[in-house]
Amino acid sequence: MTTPRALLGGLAAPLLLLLGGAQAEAKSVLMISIDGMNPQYVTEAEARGLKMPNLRRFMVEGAYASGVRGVTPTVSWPSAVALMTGTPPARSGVLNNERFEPSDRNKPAGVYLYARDVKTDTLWDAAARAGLVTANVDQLASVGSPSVRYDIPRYEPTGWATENLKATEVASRPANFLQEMEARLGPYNGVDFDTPDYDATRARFAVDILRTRKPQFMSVHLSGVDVEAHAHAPFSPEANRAAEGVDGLVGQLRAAALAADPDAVVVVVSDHGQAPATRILNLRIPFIEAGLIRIEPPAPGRAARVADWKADVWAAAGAAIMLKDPADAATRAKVGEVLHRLAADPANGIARILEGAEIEKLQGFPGAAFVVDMKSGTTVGSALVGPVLVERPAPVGVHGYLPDNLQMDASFFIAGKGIAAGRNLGRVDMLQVAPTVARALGVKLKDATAPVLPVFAAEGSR
Amino acid sequence: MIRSTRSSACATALLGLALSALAATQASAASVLLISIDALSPDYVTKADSLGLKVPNLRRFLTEGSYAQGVRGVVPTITCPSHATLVTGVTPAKHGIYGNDPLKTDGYSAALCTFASDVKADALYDAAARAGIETGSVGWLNTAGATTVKYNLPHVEPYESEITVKYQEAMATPPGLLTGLEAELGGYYQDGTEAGSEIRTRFAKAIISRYKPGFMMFHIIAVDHAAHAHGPWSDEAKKAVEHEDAMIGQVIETALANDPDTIVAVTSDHGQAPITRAFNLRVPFVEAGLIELEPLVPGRQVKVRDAKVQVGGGASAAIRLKDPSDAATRAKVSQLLHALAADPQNGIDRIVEGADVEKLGGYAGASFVVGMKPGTVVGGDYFGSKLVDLPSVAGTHGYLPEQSIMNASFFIRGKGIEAGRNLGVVDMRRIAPTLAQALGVKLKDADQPSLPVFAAGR
Repeated sequence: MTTPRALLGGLAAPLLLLLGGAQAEAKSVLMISIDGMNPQYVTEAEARGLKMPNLRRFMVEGAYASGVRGVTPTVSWPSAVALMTGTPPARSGVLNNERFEPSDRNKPAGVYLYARDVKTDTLWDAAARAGLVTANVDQLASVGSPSVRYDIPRYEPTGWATENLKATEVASRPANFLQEMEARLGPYNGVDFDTPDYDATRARFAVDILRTRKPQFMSVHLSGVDVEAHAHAPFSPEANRAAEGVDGLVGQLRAAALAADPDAVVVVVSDHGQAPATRILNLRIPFIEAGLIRIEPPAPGRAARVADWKADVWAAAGAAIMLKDPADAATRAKVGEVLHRLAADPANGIARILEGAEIEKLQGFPGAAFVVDMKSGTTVGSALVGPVLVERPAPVGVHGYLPDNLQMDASFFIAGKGIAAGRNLGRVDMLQVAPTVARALGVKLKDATAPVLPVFAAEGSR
Repeated sequence: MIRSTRSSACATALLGLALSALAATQASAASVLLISIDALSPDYVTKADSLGLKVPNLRRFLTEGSYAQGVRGVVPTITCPSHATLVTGVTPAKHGIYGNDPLKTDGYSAALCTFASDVKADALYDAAARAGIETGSVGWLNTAGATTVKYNLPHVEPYESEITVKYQEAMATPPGLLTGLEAELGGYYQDGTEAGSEIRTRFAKAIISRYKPGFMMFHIIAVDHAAHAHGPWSDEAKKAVEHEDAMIGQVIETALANDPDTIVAVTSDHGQAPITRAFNLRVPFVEAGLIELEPLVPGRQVKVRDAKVQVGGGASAAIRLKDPSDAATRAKVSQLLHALAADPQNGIDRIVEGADVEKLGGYAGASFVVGMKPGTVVGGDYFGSKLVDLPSVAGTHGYLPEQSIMNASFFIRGKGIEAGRNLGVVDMRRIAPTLAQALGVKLKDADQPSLPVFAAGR
């Protein structure tokens, strides 16, 4: 039966072929981001005894990276934005999960939740400019984006899941989009990490959007692997189980994308990997001892407060050291002295101290006086009182180390029409992902400069 | 979350036809502008001359309109529950906004009075939407996500940094409203100062003149801010009152330019009382073993290990039992509270318990409510001195509404409103039905009569 849609499609197709010319390999792309998934959950699935049938299919049917070198720091917000823009944190403006705020405010700094926090062109923007229907479930930093037509954003302006759900409902687009979906699909618990099925809910809502709205570019973000790996260490039984669960959701999402468009390209990425860690180096304690941070006299039962600071710690797994006055040479020298003294003791777990031009090369932590790179196993903590080194009661999973740490490598899998089958791309740069997705969509990103990955069948055969 | 916005959207669709016919017959229906000047005690206006205050815009209501000598508030006499009562006409026990920050007993959450879905009773803007009247709003509490408020810049806290503006942008409806206005009017970042009121005024005027809402709500907070910091009737508070008078003058003028018959109501949520002392009610509960603390560590925030009783703070305090059926604990708490109340030093006015708690219409589910005497507040400390003198006089509210110093304001003028009528002391729940009558709409849940402000023949 000829539906009006098919008719329209029939009319539009020759036009698109003419217009799109060589660049448009596919008209629709589903991009799934699996937070905290090291590629080995998939590439070494058999050796690790993991059942990952859906993601393993990408290795046979499509192209994949053995690892994706991430951005600095290898944490979720800057990495998600790098995946969506092809630009490093120093350009996108999304510099860490939390902003650096003068620490004497003694208030938590904000997360980069908003589209307005992103200074560079996103895939959503590029797709919207090209007139494509865009959609998103939970991919980070979309709140307020006029380029996402159907958006269930990741939105956590408060510390409470119940309130964050309300905020997500109000921030969903178009107005009341999420509430209308909840009326049909039940409550959206996609931001309530105390529930067992937050990822399944996100997938269910995304499948519904794929089915009913037929977006040409859709992003979906799943968190279970990251959450379980943080709590129990990467490749722990809990993290492995989460990976298998997410694999099932990837299968559902891919099926829905292909049902909406048999020629759809499906991309699966992650933002970073994770490494096990057992120790915390509380860098602010030696800073306090050196007079670089002054705290109010600690009273029993009262949280310590920063009274004044000359230098402070902006932690990921490693840390950037920020100076109140970057021109203060005496403080800079003193910080350098403290850091190198700490680095000399292997127990502290410091890999190296970066400064000057080396920091600039990171394209992350702009404005930092120093970057402290840590060895896997130890992370920088922010405590103002207590011991410098703290042993954790049990191993946890962490990320945020510099991207030359291979355990921080992210994932990239792609399959669909026009994608080469069975191609291992080796270790690639995260900034290549967005331009590759843009190419698959036939759209142009304004700010991405890294080369497109050679995933397209035609190019491969040239 | 039960009363979802979608059900009101449905209701609008279903009832739209029937009600628009109904509304048409109520020829008296007028545009209504509802202004709330947070913490405006009526005395700032009614006794303006003796206080040496210049508030010409507010004073006009005394001669040209009707007004309350005072508005007896709801329990607790704090911002969010009171604002929900102003628009629904029911007590907090019925509208569900029990406190400013019900999620957090210590400190501050970012969830303060933001979401419309928390209000469980029918509000003026819902009734207006059913009647086909468009609502605009700037700074009103618990309105984010209300499908019945068409042009909405909801109150969003905290005002910690410019990040709040992005939160406000995300909560504004229709999507893009605030970003669009900011492009013309400048940034919306505001704190509780007079400058913040100026920003809200600028944006409210733009919404009124551009979209001409039949019902407009506007809330400004500089008086509350100044009175908290320096005490009510301080020079700072008085200056803020004069400032807000000028702000509402501008907003009223803009509304009247749209519709010269606009009925304007100026309300407040509560008054304020000067305070000089904090009574740390949790300390005797810890001493009595009803709250158990982790050992105190220097530089670490105290942690409650176990609490048979949760003790709230503020100008009155709700006491909640972990297990409300635990009769032994209940008896022990009652004995402790009455012993504390017997010492006048502690500043306790009265202990409300048992069935009397329910009669308050607020603090639903509390086993006890401690009403304080104005001047002393319940502090939040778990250890240290039971009584603490504040470093300087401050202001607060939240005392039980029987304390007349907590009285809120109500002034109304406009077409069909009686001139020069003093209504005496009125119940806050009567304001919403009065405004509903002015709008020619019907509130579903309001259970009090409207106020006799309408001139004969109306």
